[in-house]
Amino acid sequence: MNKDKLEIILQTVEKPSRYTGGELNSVYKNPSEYAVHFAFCFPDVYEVGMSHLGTRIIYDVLNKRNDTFCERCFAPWPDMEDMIRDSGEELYSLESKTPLNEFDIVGFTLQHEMSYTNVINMLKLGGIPIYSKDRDGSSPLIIAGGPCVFNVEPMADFFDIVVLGEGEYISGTIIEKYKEHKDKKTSKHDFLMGLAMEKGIYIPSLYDVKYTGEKFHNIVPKDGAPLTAEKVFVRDMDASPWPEKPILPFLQLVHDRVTMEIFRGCTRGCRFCQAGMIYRPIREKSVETILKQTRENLDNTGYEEISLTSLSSGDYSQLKELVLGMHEELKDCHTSISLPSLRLDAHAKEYMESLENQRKAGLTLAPEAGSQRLRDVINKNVTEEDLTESVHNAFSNGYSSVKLYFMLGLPTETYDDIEAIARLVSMVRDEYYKIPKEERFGRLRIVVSTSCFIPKAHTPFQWYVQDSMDDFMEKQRFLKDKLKQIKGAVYNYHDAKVSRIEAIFAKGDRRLCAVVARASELGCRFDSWSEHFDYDKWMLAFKECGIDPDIYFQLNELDEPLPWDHISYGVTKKFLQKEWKLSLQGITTQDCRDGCRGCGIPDCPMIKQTEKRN
Amino acid sequence: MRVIVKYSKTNEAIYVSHLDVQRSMQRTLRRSGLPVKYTLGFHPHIALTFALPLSVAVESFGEYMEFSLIDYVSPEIIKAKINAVIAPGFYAESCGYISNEYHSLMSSVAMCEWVVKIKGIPQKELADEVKRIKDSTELLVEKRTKKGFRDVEIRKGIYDISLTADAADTVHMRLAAGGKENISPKMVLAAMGIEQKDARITRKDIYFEREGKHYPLLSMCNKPNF
Repeated sequence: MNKDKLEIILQTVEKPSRYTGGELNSVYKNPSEYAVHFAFCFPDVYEVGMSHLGTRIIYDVLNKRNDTFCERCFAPWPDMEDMIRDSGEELYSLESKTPLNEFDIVGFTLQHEMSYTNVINMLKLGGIPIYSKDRDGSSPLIIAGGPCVFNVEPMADFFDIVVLGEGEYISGTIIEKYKEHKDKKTSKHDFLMGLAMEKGIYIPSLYDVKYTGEKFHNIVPKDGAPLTAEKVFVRDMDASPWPEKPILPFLQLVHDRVTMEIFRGCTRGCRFCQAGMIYRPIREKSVETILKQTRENLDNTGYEEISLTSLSSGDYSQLKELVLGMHEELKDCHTSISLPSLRLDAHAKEYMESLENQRKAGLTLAPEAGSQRLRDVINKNVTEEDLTESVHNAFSNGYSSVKLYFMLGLPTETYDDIEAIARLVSMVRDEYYKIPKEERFGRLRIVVSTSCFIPKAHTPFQWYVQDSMDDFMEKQRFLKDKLKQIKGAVYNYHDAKVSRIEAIFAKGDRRLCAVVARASELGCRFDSWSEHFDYDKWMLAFKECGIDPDIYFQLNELDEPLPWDHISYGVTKKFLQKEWKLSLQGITTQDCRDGCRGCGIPDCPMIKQTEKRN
Repeated sequence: MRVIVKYSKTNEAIYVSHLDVQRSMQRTLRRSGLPVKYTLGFHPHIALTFALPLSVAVESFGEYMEFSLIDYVSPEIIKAKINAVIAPGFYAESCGYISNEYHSLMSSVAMCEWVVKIKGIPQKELADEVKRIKDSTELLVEKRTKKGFRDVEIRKGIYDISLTADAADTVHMRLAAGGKENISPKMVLAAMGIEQKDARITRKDIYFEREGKHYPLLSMCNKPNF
């Protein structure tokens, strides 16, 4: 980016420090001294992207190498996008202000489906041809990773390389192979072919997709590419790389605190949850490692808050030791600890008490479904008693605000289940008023949020067809009416239109690449931001591509091939089928910590634990 | 023990907003390991105040912040500890202790010294404009307020304006600042008919007033000898 032009642009745009870099602990290297120049792109605005732990980990891992310079790039907000276009320059990296098309490798993380048009937009703004087939050796290689790549088919035509699983494990291999390719001047095809043989790598261009009429038929590898591409993951979290000096942005982030990961994976087996399936197996960091990394991160940033994160923090096996150790480590240093993703069960009480001297912002609970019957269907193993106890404890410990999350449109849902949500909210209200008036804190506020359930690939609910938009809207109206009668309750709900588009892509196939490209041309971007989402443009894109969105809402038989069957993250299709059948009968599956359920994940610590017990 | 720090804000840090500077400095002090004083109460934070906000995209060599220490540390060590951990683009130029005789930094501010480098205007024209401003007795500038646009008189707040001796494209200004009257260089530029994109603004220092004379805020650290 031309320096003078940039200076003028930065004087005009909103929040210019989104586009400058130069934060504490950001890495500056001379690009010409490094063999591999890597741009890590996050397809959302800076404050969202910098809150993402994975981005920070990969940035750190790549920059610790002595052959690679990794820089960052975020989606420019529309005001900046206009300025970049008008200036005739390209989207550039924050550190060295290099245009994206001058990098060796450009990597994207796909955190959710509604960021897809931002990926296309960033490629275009960076001066890079969007389709893999249109890029020769002179263009950067485009890589993707993140949870959405477990069904990357709707974006498959745009990426040269897809990373399945944890980037800190596989990034080194990719860099080494890339250097070899550059040294030996091998063809792009040969280089990709070689990479395809590595576990954790998926090369979409090496697979042909066949359709029967409107229906997906199957996907077949070409040129000897593997039948299934498997994910890779870190085994030992204590030995896994961790950024001890995380970047400290000037701008306030969405999550502006030290994010301390305490374990990966989840043993609960909630049937709607893609994260709970694809991040298996469970792998914990030791208390010792967590405390050491916490100290380093706080010393190197000055953050006043630390958040212990995982998919279900209450499940950490040494939680008591950890919380005690944290209090000891952090005493007298004016730092608060938060534990998000606590489940509503008996444990929660203990931790709430240990956090008693902390900020009481409010309690967030996710029962997900209103009735016990439906919670059994989705395998969310919490009971009404758990919830009652949690809110009772909260209200007696100084909380007066509770957020409750539910999903509408879960499999087998009836209006009785939705009515049960309102009943649950009344119960929460009653718990508050049970506390003697003089002991109550503040004014009761119950925020009820419902999202529209989106069946995701690689979950037991991948065989479920999402509710129609009319169904969702009817259900939202119904619940709104019921909640109106409850004093102190506020109701928020997700836009059914966004959820429908998300559902198409979550279980979509490769034909959708054309739709994403067309939607981007029509001006779709920042689709996860309600002020930018434009359903009509999306529908126009489908129409112009000759694709009927309804074909993605057809029932699939259990043994039918699915567009993502060739991507494996370890859990078998057989296990998912079994879980789907159990869910329809309302039969729950217990936590893997109480015994292995045979999901198929290799090297899972729960297998060993079960063997030992028997 | 009240400490003031004079710091600069240059390079890409000029794009950091005042609110973000406040948060960044809180964290800088936390990293420094200095025995800083925290506020009492339920959510303790460092009691840290700033003399005057600075507009985004403006460089400065004379910003000030104030905090307290609970143990004595020599000014040299305070400066060294801050600079060891301060965010890129910021630099603690000097620091020292001030007595309680002084009010808060913010309420002491009376004047700012600025230099503005101007491009794209012939030097003769610029010199004429500076002279016109200097010779005027009244200058009305349109100012945007909450209620709409309003003309304000700024000449009285321009204490001095001249071309700098060593660069004919750079205007030196001393302008009223603080609660009573606040004249920004942008207002003066507007009076001169110069567009903002053609100007590079730098704040050199912030002053307080004592018996009709102006002194840099940093001189509060010396024993008073007015």
